[in-house]
Amino acid sequence: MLAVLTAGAGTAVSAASKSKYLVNANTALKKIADIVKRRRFNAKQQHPLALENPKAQKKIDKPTAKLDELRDNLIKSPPKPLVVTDKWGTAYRAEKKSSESISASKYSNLKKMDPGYLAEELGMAKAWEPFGAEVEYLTPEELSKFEVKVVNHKLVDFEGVPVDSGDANNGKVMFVMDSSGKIYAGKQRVMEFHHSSFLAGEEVASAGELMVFDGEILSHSRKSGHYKPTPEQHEQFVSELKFSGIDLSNIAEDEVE
Amino acid sequence: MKTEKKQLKDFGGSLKTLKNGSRVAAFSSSTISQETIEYLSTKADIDNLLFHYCDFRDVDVSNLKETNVTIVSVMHGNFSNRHLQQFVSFGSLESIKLHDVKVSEENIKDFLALRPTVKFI
Repeated sequence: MLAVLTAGAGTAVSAASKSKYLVNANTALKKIADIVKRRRFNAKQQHPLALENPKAQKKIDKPTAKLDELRDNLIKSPPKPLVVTDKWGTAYRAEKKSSESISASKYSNLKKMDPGYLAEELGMAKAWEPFGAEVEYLTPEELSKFEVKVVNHKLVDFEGVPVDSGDANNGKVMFVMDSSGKIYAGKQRVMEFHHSSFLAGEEVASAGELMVFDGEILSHSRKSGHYKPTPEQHEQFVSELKFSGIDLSNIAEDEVE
Repeated sequence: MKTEKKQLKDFGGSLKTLKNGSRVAAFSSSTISQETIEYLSTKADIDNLLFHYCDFRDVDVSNLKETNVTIVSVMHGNFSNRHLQQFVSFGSLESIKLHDVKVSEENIKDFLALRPTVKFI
C-alpha cells in the first residue's frame, strides 16, 4: 500500500516538475523574443542594408553582432520542442492548451525545418539575408482557418468550401501535414508566408504543393524549401488522403529538383 | 490591335519595399523564362532580386546586366553554375546570396577570379 502511494506521489512530482520546466522554457523563449524585437525596433531606422550611410551602419554594428550570436546559438542548439506526454505516452504539443486543439501523434517520421530559416519570424534568419524577411508564424487559433479536410472525396477548407488553387501563384497552394495527420493549406506569399508559417517552424509529417480545382487534386509534390520532405514523408500524406477518401495513385507526383 | 503592357505579377513576381527603401522584385515557385529576364532588364527601378525556389531551366540570365540591380538572392531551385557565370558581365552587381542551390565553392572561386569585388553573403 505504502509502495503504491510512494510511486503515485513520485509520478505526480515528476509531472509537476516537467510542467514547471515547460512553463519556464516558454517564458524564457518569450523573453528572448521580446528583447530581440525591442532591439530590432531600435535599429529599425538603420537596416543593415543602409550601406550609403556608413555612420548609421557603425551604430548598428554592435547590436547586429549580438543578434547574430543569438541566432547562431539558436541554430547550434535549437530549443527542444515543447511536447508533453500523458500517462499513456501520447504526445501533445504543449502550446495547444485548449482540449479541442490537442491531437495525438499519428506519424513519427517527421521533418525538421532547414536551420537556415530559424528565427525568420523575427526577421533574423540566415537564409533570408540580406533582406531580413519577417515570415508570419500562425497561432493555433489562426491555424484552424487553414485546415483542409476531405469531404465526399473533395478537399474542402474550414468553411466546407472546395479548395481551388487557380488564383494562387503558379496555380498551386502549399500544404503541410502535422504529426496527427491534420492538413493545412494556403497561398504562399514570398518573404511573408511560407510552409513554416502554419506550424510556426515546428516539425511536419509532410509538406509540399498542390494544384486543386473545385476540391479535386490535379497535381501534388513535396516541393518545400523550408522542409525538403523525403519521399517516405510524402507517402504519409498520400496515405492520409487515401484513408480520408482521396486516392492519388493515378496522379503522378511532380518531380522536385 | 491594342497591346497590353505586362507587369511584374504577370511573370509571377511581386515588388517588396524594404525598410531602407530598396525595392526587391521577388519571385517564388515561378518559372523564370527568357521573357521574364527581358522584362526585368527594362526595369530601372528595381534595386534587388530574390528568386525563391524558381525554375531557371535553359534561361540565359546575362541580360540582367542591363539593370541597376545590386543584390541578387537565389534560394533553392535549379539555379546553377552556368547561370552564375552569366553574371560575370553584370556590372552593377555588388552582392550575391546563394542558399541551397547547385553552385559549388569551386564555381564561386571561378566567378570571384573574374569579379573579385562581388561579395558572397
